[in-house]
Amino acid sequence: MNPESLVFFNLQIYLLGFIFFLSLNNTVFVKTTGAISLVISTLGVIVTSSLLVNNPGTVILTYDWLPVGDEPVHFILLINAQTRFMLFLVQVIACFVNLFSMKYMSDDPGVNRFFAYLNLFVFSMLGLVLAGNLLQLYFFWELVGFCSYLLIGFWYAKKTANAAAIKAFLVNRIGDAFFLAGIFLLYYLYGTFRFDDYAHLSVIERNYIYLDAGQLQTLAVGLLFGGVMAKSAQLPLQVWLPDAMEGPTPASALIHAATMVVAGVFLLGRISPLITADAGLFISITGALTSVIAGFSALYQYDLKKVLAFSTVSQLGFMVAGMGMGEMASSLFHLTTHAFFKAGLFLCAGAIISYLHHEQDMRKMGDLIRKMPTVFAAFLICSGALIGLPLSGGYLSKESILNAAWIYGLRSADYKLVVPVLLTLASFLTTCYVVRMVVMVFFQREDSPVEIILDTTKKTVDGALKSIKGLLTADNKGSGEDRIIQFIRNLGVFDTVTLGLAFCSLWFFYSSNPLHPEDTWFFREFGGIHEMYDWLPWLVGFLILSALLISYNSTLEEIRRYYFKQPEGRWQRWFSRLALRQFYMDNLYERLYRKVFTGRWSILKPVSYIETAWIDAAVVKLGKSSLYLAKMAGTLEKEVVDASVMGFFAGIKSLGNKIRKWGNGNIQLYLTGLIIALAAMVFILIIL
Amino acid sequence: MESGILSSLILLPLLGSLLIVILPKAYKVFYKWICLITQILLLINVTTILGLFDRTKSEYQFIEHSEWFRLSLGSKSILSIDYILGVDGLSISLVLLSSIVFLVAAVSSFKITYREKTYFSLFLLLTASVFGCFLAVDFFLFFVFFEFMLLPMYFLIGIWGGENRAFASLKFFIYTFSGSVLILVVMICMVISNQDEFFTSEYARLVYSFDFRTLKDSTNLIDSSILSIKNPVTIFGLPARDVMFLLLLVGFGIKMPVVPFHTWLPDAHVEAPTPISVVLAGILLKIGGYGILRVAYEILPDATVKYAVLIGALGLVSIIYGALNALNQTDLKKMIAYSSVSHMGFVFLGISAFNSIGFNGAMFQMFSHGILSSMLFLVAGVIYERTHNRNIDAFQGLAKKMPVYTLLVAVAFFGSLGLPSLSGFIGEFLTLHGAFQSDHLPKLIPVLGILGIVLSAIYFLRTFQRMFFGEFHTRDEYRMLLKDLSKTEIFMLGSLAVLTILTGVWPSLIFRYINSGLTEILK
Repeated sequence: MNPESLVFFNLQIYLLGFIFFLSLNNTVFVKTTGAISLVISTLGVIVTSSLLVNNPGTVILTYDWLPVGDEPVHFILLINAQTRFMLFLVQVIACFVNLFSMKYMSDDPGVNRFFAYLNLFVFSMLGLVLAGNLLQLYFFWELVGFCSYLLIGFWYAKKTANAAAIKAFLVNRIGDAFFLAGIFLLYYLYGTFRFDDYAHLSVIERNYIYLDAGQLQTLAVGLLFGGVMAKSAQLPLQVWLPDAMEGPTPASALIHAATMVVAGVFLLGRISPLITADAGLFISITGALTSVIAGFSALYQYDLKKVLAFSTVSQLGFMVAGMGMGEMASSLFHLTTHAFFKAGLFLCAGAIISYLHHEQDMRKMGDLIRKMPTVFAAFLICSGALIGLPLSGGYLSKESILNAAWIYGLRSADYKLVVPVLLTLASFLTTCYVVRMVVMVFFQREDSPVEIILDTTKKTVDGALKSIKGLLTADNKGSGEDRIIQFIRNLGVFDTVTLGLAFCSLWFFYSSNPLHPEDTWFFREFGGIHEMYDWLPWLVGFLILSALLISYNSTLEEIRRYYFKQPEGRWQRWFSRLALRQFYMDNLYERLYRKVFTGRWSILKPVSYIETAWIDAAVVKLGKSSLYLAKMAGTLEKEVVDASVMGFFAGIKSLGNKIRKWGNGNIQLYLTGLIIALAAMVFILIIL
Repeated sequence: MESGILSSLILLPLLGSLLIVILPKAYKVFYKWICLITQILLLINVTTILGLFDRTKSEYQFIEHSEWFRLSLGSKSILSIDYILGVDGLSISLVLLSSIVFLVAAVSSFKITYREKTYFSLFLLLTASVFGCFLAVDFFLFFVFFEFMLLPMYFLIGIWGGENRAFASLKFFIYTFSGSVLILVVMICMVISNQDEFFTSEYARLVYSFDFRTLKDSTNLIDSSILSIKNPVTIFGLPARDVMFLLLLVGFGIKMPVVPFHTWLPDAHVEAPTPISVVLAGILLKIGGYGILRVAYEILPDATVKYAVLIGALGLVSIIYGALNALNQTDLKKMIAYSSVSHMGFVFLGISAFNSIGFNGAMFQMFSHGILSSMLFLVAGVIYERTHNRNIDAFQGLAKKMPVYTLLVAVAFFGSLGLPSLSGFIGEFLTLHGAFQSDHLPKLIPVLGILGIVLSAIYFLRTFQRMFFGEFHTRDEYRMLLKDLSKTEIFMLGSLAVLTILTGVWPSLIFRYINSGLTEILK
């Protein structure tokens, strides 16, 4: 098959899946949606892998889309190396998540809706990956945001889920506004939206206000980066991602860890020829700062999913910083490894949460090492990859980013050194929170809080819903046998998926050499790797070891304090609260939003005042004054014009009356009058 | 080619109206069917026109020209008023939109049970005058239809409206009528400063023509006239052509409506019955935009370009101000009305760009807003007809109770807030894009215009969340009334939703008809 039909097949099956599942509502086929969806994504993986294996090089497919103006905008599918690996990555993770959700969501009444959204998401994500121009990328960029909105708010009856969904959409909209401005500015500078043109076209020399073309380009990239900040949860627009964990866990794994949030990094890769040195510095510093701040936040979370969310933000910071430094290969490499191990971690978390009856507080977990050994194994491998232990994919990718950062920092002006220092600090923090998480969730504790949770839920949950602990403790003999078999079969899905993703995060998936990233596909395809600092693995290894020791001890201490209800030290408490609440950024935005749109100083008040008291009142006044004028005219008519006419009549009449009195037949009087009149005439004639 | 197909668009509804008037009350069940069948026939005719329309040509097509009357003005000049119909790239998309929206409104009118005879005859009268307005090539004919539209509209709001209908219909009438007066002034000035050269030589007398094609041609200008370019006349210190343009801007701006001439809209919308709100938002607002393009842009291009910044700024103010007001509303219909103001602001922004991208975007935005606002008002009508309550806060968690309704509302809301793949996005994107690339506007205007898409997301999402999400909760007496959509409602909303998606994904469905016509205006 040629690449054109391959990608169209890919796009179509997911879209048809979406339409099909949405129409399945309230039918008997609802139960089969998961299976059908799995078939779709498996087909997708197979088709894409043929694209990856055959390697057709760069293919550009052009179709008419917007025949507007002198330069019509085409619908372009751009298939190059960056597209191909991303197509494959998205669908493989989607396939894993699909399998996982079949069990995770099986009891939910809206299961068909879930799979419909999932398919719509994969469709939009593939569209984004294939997009050959900025407009098209923006098109699908918003669509994936929309899917994320739908999936965060999947349980729409839940208030927190709704709030989180709206927040995600709005924060992304703000980012998109910057993105849109960036698109316009780039078009202004280059006269095109196409990615393949940006590489070889030169800037149309334009000056605007005080900026020359180069500065405008920096500004444009900065504006585009505004969109990236929202989508890839970079400072200061990262606030939506932790809240987004309200959605179902498989959706978090697919969208908010592995694929959608890396769309920003993907975009930076697409526009990499445009990133100027200044813009690059800005981007990499933002990324590095984000990774540190999110690392601190992750360190103090109690919610398992939130720890993972902040860890995602932190790792995205790594990738973005890599893109800013111009290290596309290592950034995309880290994107891939991260997708696998973070999806793995999230799905492990999903398994744990489902096992614990939707308990997400890590302090109440513990001892799961005995209860869920396979999930523990998978979790451990993925965590190792997240930390960057040798033999994992994460080691290779993270090392290459750190290496590039040190090169970037040491080779040029000294303030650039900020980037590698921050990134190294972030990798230290990563180890700390990962160790804390593993210890809290899995390690043995004396009074095993899991038992407590399971006991209490057993009491509260109705008898029809059997507690998993009942299944666990049931012995293999007698009547419990088939239940055990059922249990193992059911659990099997979680185990396979998490282990599968854990295997994908090992080194052999990417490189034959477990300790050196040189011969990975990414570096062959995108170039990169100039020089390797030999001291760097030692430094990182030392940091990892020290973090392991520190964090292990402090976590035990933290758990102990939690059980004995001992307060922390003052500054510790202060800092943990600060970190827990994302350094009050979230709070600030919410208060700002409230200030602007509700409350006493809201801008809506003057607006409504202007609307009613000025504009509408002016109109009403105008109407009233015309009425008044009409009344005036009426009075004028009655009192002046009419009155004068009537008065004239009356005057004539009374004159007539008066004259009539004279005409009473007295001839002498007539004669006297005549004579007087004659005399008067003669007199007048003489005078004249 | 004198096919008479354009006349049929005006005559058919007139005949239908007449038929309803003469049909006795005993047959009143047929009134709505006559109305519906007329609308279907109109849609068939319009699709025929679309099929025969030559997309590469930019001039009027299907021209029908016959003499109406000649008025002798003394011995020197003649006033020639003709019945000319034609359709070009500018009007064809709006003709299509009108016939779609009228069809949907006719279906929605089936619920009318009070004084059907008057209602349906007025409705068809309105249909005829709207088509006449879009098809007229003669300024006088255009003005007649433009004015005549007010009459059925006044009664339709005034008789079948809500509680405060008398005030609303009066406000609507006076507002738009005062706009018309300004247009009338401009019409007279335009006509007396243009001569029809061909007929002038034939009659050996000065012929004043109302034909748009004559008025457009600047060679027809009479040198000593008020609009003359060579000998500029000033009125209150402004060149006469500029004054004419400003009068048109206000006249059509009221219709559009553009802030600060918009306050009739919320009242009229809130009080009007659902089908009339649909027609009002779907079509009547577009006549403002159409009028500006047709009259101001074609006949006074030089004055218009001068005021590009003013048009753009008015658009920007409408976008932001309308959105902020929409945020402020608790009445669903009022919120939608203000969102209309905001969305029509994008049309102004697009036409102020003076480039092909902006014009196309503005036309597309008009089409898309016609579809989407019709959907929005139908959506509000669904709730209002069931409960007689339009307050956003009175409902919660409708998604559980009315899933199909929720889906279609989602299409309408997300379409309006500019989600790609629905038509609103293309219009908003292209108008902003055009304004940004324009040489006539400061970059600040489109950049601030982008804020509009953030604000629209806020008010639509907030409403959507409040009404549809959360646990189902409403007053007890509404619980039984809130049923999911009936088949008719699904038909109306569903067909509009399909159109939104179709034009949003494949916008050249519209662009291929309008592109050549708009490029012509640019020259």
